[in-house]
Amino acid sequence: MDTLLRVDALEKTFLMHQFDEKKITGCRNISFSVNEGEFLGITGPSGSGKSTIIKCIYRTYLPTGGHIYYQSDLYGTVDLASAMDRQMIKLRQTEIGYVSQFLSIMPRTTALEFVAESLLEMGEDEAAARLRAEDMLAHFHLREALWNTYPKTFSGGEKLRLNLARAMVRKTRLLLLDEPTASLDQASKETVKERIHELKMAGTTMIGIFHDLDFMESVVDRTYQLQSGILKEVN
Amino acid sequence: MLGYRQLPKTTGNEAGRPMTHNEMRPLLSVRHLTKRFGKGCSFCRQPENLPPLNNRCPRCGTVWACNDLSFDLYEGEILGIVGESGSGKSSLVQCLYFDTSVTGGTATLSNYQDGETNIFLESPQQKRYIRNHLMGMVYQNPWTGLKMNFSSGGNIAEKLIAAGHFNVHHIQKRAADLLDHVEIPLSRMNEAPRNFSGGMQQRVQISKALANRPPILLLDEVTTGLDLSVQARVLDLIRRIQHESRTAMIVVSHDLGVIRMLCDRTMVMKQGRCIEAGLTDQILEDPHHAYTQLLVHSLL
Repeated sequence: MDTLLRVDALEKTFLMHQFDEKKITGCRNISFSVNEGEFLGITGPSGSGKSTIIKCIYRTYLPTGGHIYYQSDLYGTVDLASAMDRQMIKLRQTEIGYVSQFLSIMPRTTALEFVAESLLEMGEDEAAARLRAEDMLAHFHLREALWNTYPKTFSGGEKLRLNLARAMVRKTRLLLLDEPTASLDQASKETVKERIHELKMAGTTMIGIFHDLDFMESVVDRTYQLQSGILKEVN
Repeated sequence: MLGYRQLPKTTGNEAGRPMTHNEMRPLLSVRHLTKRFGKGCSFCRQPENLPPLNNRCPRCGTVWACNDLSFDLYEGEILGIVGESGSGKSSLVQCLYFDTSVTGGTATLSNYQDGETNIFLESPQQKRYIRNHLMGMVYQNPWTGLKMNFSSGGNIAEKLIAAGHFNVHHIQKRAADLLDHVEIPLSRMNEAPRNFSGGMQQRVQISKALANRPPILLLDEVTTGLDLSVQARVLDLIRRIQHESRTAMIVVSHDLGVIRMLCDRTMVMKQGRCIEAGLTDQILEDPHHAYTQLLVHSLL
């Protein structure tokens, strides 16, 4: 199988200028690779740097060392650790998705528009995007009465499900999951699992962080454990 | 020949291909832009002599409002410029719109003389041409951008006439379309913006700036001082414009919330210098410069 992503000696430190130039290590010397179509799980205690790795891949964090070689459809091999901002924006629009447990909403945007927007970004036309968005909201059991209202006043669970609908409606080449199921109830977790299987069938490669080990074991192909900064493969 | 072209409407289904040459080539390219207020002296003309966190020359009192700024703006993107009052943000866009002359540096537009001419050195006529055809500007204060005694429709007509449109029918129709687009009731088209609320004035100003379909729109603190619901409406309008016409925009704001909502890339300015630039979420979650860290940690 072809390697889609190869992380090589990734390092991220944060320099806190407000606090006597204190250095905080996010992760260091992280190396692993993911094959095309594979689902890789990363576990480890809180603060071990799991999210840091995911955010470095998505470039929300700028890595301070190492390389992240990604096999892009558009550009061939790209080192995400040093790719141009413009290239990163394009890759985020078309190839790399990111799901977290936090919803960041736009003012005056309805739930349906919010989900459809993510498809429009990829170049889908408006009518098709709307239909797919409706499907996805239904899949995540968001009441139809809420589709054309603003999410600001949704309940916690509704916001979470809306967030997942937006992030998982697209078929990206690589999907990064940053504890998306952290505060979901059992029924919602099942719908996430179903969608993960669909995306996997469609060939999406995924890297996920989960605290719920049972859930993780039911979806991933391989697991790495991050323990005091060292990444180990678990069988 | 001057290279003015109308922007194509996006047709969808185009995000999934690699960037074309045109997309890789910046629409606006600014290099070493410098603007000083004051005569300058032999000491402060060496930029490295200025104290690191001050843009005022300790010897002659000259203020270096923009100090060696270089950046690119691409088609269809929104570039954010954030910084505190006095950091040089407004001076920068005023230089780009020729409201004030630059001290040094170059700017080229890919759709003007093939990107080979420094527009800062053009003749006043050519600068007017660029302002009327290739750029739009929305000021923080609607009184700067609008003729308050003209009607709203008249304000738009003024811009269209400057851009070489003389057909009265066409002008009226375009003005009506634009005002409708920014949710100004057509019944008030002949009323002077003087009578309008601040948010309405701002929306008339945006419609005026858009009248000639400029490929580049400069927005200087356009939501500052508006109350929240009006602000949301103006932001909504800006996003809609970007979505529909792929107009490239420079959004100047001291409000990180506005920047977060609108911009793909962000440049942080302090004391006339660019201290940090990157993807907006990266600037907000992984700020590198001490000032940006302070700014992010002050965010409500």
